[in-house]
Amino acid sequence: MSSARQQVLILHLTSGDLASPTVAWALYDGALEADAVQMQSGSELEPPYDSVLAAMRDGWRVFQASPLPERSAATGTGQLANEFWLERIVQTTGRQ
Amino acid sequence: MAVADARVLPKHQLLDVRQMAQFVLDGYLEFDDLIPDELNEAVYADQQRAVDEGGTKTEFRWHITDNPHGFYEYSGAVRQVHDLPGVQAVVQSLLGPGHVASHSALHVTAPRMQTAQQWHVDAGGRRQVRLPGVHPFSFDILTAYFAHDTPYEMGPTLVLPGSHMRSVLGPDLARYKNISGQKRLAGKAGRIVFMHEGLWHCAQTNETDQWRFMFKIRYNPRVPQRGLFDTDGWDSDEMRRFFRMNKGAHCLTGESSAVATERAAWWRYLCGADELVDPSGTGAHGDYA
Repeated sequence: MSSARQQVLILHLTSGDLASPTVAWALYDGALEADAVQMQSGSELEPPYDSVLAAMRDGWRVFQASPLPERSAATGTGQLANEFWLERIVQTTGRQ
Repeated sequence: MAVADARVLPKHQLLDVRQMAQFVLDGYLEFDDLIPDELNEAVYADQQRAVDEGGTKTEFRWHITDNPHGFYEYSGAVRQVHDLPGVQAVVQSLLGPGHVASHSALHVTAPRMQTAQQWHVDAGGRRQVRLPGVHPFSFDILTAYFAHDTPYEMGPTLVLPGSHMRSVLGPDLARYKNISGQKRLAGKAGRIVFMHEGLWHCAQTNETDQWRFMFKIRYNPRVPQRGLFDTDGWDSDEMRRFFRMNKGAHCLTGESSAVATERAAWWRYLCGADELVDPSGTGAHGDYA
């Protein structure tokens, strides 16, 4: 019996343009079993997609984007900006 | 191992402006030739005695023993390594005389370890984020010493060059997994790396059948970190060109202008310049940003 599971892909781009290059990526895969290894820090050298638009063309749906960064001398630079959350629903046939 | 010898080393033994500029840009410096082979081998033998099938033996786990220097006290060889004139010259160039080793740790990764550490900054993050009143250009140093060969597949520490310029709290980086420019500190036995406290980093998976060891010391400064290295030539055309040509280095998501300006002010502070900003008062830094 198959079940729907969510995969979440987080992409950071060089700018707020969804076609700009990917500089950071993380995949959280709800279709993997609990004892499977998720994407690890430092595990890959090349991003899965060159941009958010490229991921959309492959079926990923954007469901959240970070606000445009508010930069000031007081706060300096911190976390990576231009963060986009994408999801894909996949069917699994494994354990429940 | 509390407060280090407060003697000031001769200038010619200290880091020069090229090395310090690279540290300012990247947030770390690597050296492959400071430690003789026989010391590396002796430390590696001590490290292998510090683990059993369960990992690090209890007496070397400082969170359990309440001893922040367990392996350092156990291994005479590792003490010799960190007392070497070449190693001390780097530490003194960055932190000044009389620096303090706040704690040390033997980091151990088991063979075939398939999960990596999460991205983080040590000690909760940059002090400027956590503590009011801390000087904006003060920093601690973390050493990462690899006594044995640590090729890429063995998963030596992963760092993100340039990330020391970002103000974050340490655990808040865990969402990230892979970032352009990330670099494993792979190298031959004897590699020692000196990292700014704000550098993003994490331990990596180990694809080999050997234990991986990394020994770390966190050093605190006791003096303002100005003019502590060989500053000859700090305002030369070569240095101006270096910062100008690297203005966008390590810029990931549009921070280039802000980072270049902060980097220029930090450089002037480190070098003991009279003015931290350009005399025009516009906030510009001429060729530095």
